[in-house]
Amino acid sequence: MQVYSEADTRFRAEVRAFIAEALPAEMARKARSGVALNREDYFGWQRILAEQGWLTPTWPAEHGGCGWTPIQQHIFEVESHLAGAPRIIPFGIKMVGPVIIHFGNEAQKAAYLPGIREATTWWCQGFSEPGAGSDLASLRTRAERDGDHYVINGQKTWTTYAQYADMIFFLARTKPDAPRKQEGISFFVARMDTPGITVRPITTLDGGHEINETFFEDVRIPAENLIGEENKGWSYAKFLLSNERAGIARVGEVRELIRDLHDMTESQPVGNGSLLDDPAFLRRVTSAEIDALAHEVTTLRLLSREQESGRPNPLTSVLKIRGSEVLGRLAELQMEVEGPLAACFRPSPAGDPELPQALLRPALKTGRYLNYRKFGIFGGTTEIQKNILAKTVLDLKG
Amino acid sequence: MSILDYSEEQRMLKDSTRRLLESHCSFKQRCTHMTSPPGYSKAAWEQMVEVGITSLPFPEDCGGFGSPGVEVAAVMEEIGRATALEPYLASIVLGGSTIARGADAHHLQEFVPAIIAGSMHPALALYEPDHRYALKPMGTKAQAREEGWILNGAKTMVLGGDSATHFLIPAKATDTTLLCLVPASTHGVRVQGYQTVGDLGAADIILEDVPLSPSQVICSGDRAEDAVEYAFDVGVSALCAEAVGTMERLLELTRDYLDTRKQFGVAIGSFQALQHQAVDLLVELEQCRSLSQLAARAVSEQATGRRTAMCSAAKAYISRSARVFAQQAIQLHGGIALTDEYEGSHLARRLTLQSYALGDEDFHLQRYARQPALSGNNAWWD
Repeated sequence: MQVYSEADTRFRAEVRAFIAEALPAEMARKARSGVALNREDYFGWQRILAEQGWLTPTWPAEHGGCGWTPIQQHIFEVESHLAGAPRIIPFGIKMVGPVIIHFGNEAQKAAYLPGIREATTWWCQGFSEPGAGSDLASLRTRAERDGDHYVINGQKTWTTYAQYADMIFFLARTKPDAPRKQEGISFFVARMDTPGITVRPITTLDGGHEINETFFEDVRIPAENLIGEENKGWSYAKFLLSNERAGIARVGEVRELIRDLHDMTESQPVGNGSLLDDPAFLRRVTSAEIDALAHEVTTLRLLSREQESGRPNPLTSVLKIRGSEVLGRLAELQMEVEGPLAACFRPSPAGDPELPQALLRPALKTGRYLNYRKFGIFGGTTEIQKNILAKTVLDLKG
Repeated sequence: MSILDYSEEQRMLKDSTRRLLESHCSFKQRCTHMTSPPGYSKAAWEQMVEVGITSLPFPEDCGGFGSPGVEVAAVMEEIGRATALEPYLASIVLGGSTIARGADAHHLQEFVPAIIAGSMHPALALYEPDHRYALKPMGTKAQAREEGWILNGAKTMVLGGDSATHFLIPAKATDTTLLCLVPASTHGVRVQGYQTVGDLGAADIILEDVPLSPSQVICSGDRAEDAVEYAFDVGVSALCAEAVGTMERLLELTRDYLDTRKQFGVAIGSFQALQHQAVDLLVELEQCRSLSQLAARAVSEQATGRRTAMCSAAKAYISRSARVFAQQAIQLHGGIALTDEYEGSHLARRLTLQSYALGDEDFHLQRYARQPALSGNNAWWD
């Protein structure tokens, strides 16, 4: 049956063929195994895409964009995940890049865009602070003008992949006495090797290291590192976050997990048969699969509506909510495929330094299940999304 | 046109159906219709015939519009909004599609115009006592005689059966399945009508030595089973759309109630706990809408394998969602939604019917799981 247009069906074939040809087998194997990827793993794939002209699809043509529609971006994301490509780290391409294109000056565009477009500069995001999470506008990091410089003092947290980053974009308060807290905030960029910036790793509940705390102690950055106008940072941040919404449905990951869940259930021996013969487990797999189907069709429906109207649709918060729920449930089911082995986590300090071979996969799945709790929290929690929907779609007053 | 939404023409069809139902089947009018025979409005039914929506699912060569999927869904959403009582699902969608799929050219010409004209009401007798949702006849048997057959057996929960002019009866013969068309007035047919929880009429039927001429057999064997499976899928797709309409209306009522009902000096809709529950309904509605659209397209495009998978996926999801939706909407209202005089309680009852009619969640999860699995990197609709 026809869901994609003919042009989109051709586009999918083109993307599929390109990835099959260009994605190195070793890279796909590593990404699909579930082990943590490093800077070179991510950048290696991004450079291949850059060469094809597909790394910055949403940018204007003069900056290296290729004019993909939202549906085409979606198709690319799904195909990338199904093929096992490393995911595209969004901080440069989807976040700071568009802000610099829209609000930066020519010197800033020349200085920063090539590094993003060619996958040579890794960016990280300095928004959240210990006291400013969902209530981001209450951030306290300060930027004080001193001649040709700003001096930054404060602390950022949840800085994803700060350990790989060359650059950071961040929000800091430039006008502490502004009447509304949103009004005194500015948007800056800084080199991560600037004296006074230190990064402390945060180990997450799955034992992994994706996120960090980033400290600014009397960090002097040149005044030209201010993006746009002073005290207008909040509106740039809102612009940035609205671009972030494009990939919030996470349908690519959902499809990858569904496919693997099927294969795993079928190949998990139970007595003389497989786990697929267990009606209780099959029921849960089937139910999760239908939830995923509903989510994917909703994503396509809302994306194509957005594509047609050219306006952002407030209903996209539904995609963030359901995407994180569906992904969480799939990660949970994949873990449960392992049965008692699902309880395996890491080597014992009293025993061997390595896990037995047969427990590597279960341990990775349990780790991922724990890691995936993050989807309901970052990028606007489920509860913040519900506040948005209550206000914008249901028109209920706070 | 955007993917998986109604086209401009389909939207116009939807709007005109809404206007028709608003003028003939308002909540107040409906409350009168449901307590007096035949349990729906004949005037509304005549209007449905007049505007032509009774022709939607039938093939073009016998006077139909040839669109059992998306166009029927557009109408059914409006029927669901209005919780309309007219036997559109029973006579046109279920009964009509069974004949449209199973009958030969002669029977098509004989029956389809009468169905479209609203004078013939065929009800598909799917279920038998003690066989839950089984789609094949188990205890209803056709015994061959010199010319034709003798039917014996019982059918239950036959939608539209209380006001049907004909019954479509799947029956077991020695080595085949027969699909029989039996006028309700036939000697030996006993009909006991009742009202379902969604206020639509239904009936139990007892068949006692019912004589059957050869011309009353619409089709047999694989063709009979295919006709029933097809009509069932078309009905499932239509019922899913109906549920979407009912949910949409119930969410509107809930939202308005939250906005106007004051307690502790403020609108209760300002409480975050209630806002989030209302948003949960919105999130559910969007999922149901998507699956309903997908099922309707699978039916329209006659993609047989995917047709059943997509219809069962939609109904499995919506069967659960419809009940949860009704429960939560009642809770958000408080006491008023427990009263029969409030429209919301009728919507909640209809959602209960939609949850159980034409297969419940378990039935459809199993039916979906029996379809060819999603293979490799294919999408569900490839």
